[in-house]
Amino acid sequence: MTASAPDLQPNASASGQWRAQEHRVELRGATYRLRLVRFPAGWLASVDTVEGPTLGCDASPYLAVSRAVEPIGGGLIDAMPIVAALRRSPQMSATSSAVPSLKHR
Amino acid sequence: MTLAQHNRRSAPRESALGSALAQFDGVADYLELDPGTRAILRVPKRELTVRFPMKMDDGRVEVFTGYRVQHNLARGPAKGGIRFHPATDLDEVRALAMWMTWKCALVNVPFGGAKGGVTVDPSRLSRRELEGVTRRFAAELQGVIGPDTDIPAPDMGTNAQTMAWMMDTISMHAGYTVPGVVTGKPVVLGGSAGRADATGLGITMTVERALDQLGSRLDGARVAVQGFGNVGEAAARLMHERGATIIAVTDVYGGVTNPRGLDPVALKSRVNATGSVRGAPDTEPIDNAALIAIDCDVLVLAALEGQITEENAANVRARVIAEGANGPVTPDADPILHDRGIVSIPDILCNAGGVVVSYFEWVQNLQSYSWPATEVASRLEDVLGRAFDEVWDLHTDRGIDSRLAAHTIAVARVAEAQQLRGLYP
Repeated sequence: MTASAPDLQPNASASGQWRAQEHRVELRGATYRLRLVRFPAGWLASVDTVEGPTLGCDASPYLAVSRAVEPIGGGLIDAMPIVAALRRSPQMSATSSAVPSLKHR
Repeated sequence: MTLAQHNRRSAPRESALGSALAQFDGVADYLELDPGTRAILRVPKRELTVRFPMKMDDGRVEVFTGYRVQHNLARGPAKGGIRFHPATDLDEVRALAMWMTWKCALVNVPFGGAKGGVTVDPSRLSRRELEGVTRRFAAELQGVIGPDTDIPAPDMGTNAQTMAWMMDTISMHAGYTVPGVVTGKPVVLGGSAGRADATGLGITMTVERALDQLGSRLDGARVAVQGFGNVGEAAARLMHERGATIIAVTDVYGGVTNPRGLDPVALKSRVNATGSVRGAPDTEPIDNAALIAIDCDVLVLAALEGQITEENAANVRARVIAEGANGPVTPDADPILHDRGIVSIPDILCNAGGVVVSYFEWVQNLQSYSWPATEVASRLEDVLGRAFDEVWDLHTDRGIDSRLAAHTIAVARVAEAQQLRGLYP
């Protein structure tokens, strides 16, 4: 149901500028690709949809993901488990295997 | 991960305000809120302090001090109780207003948070004096409170009669009846069916959900209840009606236990007659320390804050702790309970039944339409059930302490609303 991909920019952490992660998330039976990019000032989240990519930006990863999943019927409560799972991995590493799915509501 | 681990901040922890700020800072750190949003949410939006004179029954003129604090209005009009208590001060009201913001957000009712109070011991006032203080304080709040701006409710030392006086005073100034200005009114004045038992019913509903998640049921569960005021009594009675065995109850004067079960209705009659459950027939005495350590399925804490601490958390033998009071478990006790696998239903979820039914009362007043008690209970179950599931999912799926999960959801909701509204001008 879910999968994770490695950093899109493997050397990003060395540069200290940005770090991208890619995840598969599920909402109401549909699977989407979610990209999370961490910048020094905050987070950018984007979900690929048939209409095009969504976008959410915020200092808080929860609010960034919340905005990114809003166009596909998601929201803050859907963003919570995604980001909470990432928090459990050291340094929010993209190598975490604990990538959650968005629950059906 | 527990909220306490996120609360290592510099704010003084002794006061309610220190605790509220430390709690907020911990959650804001966890959420990585931007500095601007953090600065907005950390302080009250509006504070009012009033001093008003009253002629007492003996002819003296006494000056009283009252407060109303609106913490945040991003999600809707302010909502929160008014307390009459001799220890009430501005910092306490600030803290309680902030907690109301989080509570309303967690259960997703469209209110911001507020609180108010008058520094007075209501037990020392005659009925005429009490009505005078209430009406004069309400008059001082004219223009601050209102159905679209800030809706008070009863709290410590106030009740449905207090709200009736407040509603009448505001209505006299307006020139027409304004039922939606307060909630917790008598039913004949627009109060909601089910309001009196709402907090106890909410506790019962969340306990049922927690036990269900643990593969158990309230029917047949052994329950101990600390505190036998409005909240504790209702929780004990409603759980008893649903098949639970109430094995121990304490109040401010003492306690009683019977492993075969207590009858909450008989205990209530005894309290009405004697002022305490102490000495009820067919019971053994028990004190608070023994009640907290009693072997039971559910421990309902419906008395004071700070009852389970780092010192006594290891003594708890309940599977589920229901926080009917505000702050009955200290932050230092949280990780001990968490590590021992004891489920705590955090206060802003467990005792939210009151504010949810207050919301229902406000909606009914705005519609000039009243719902039957069955509809109120059904809607309460929907609202609290959804909130419980959201907290529980975050708690269990991700290993986050239930209190941190609840506050994370609440603060994030308010932060999101605040950011979407933007800054004016």
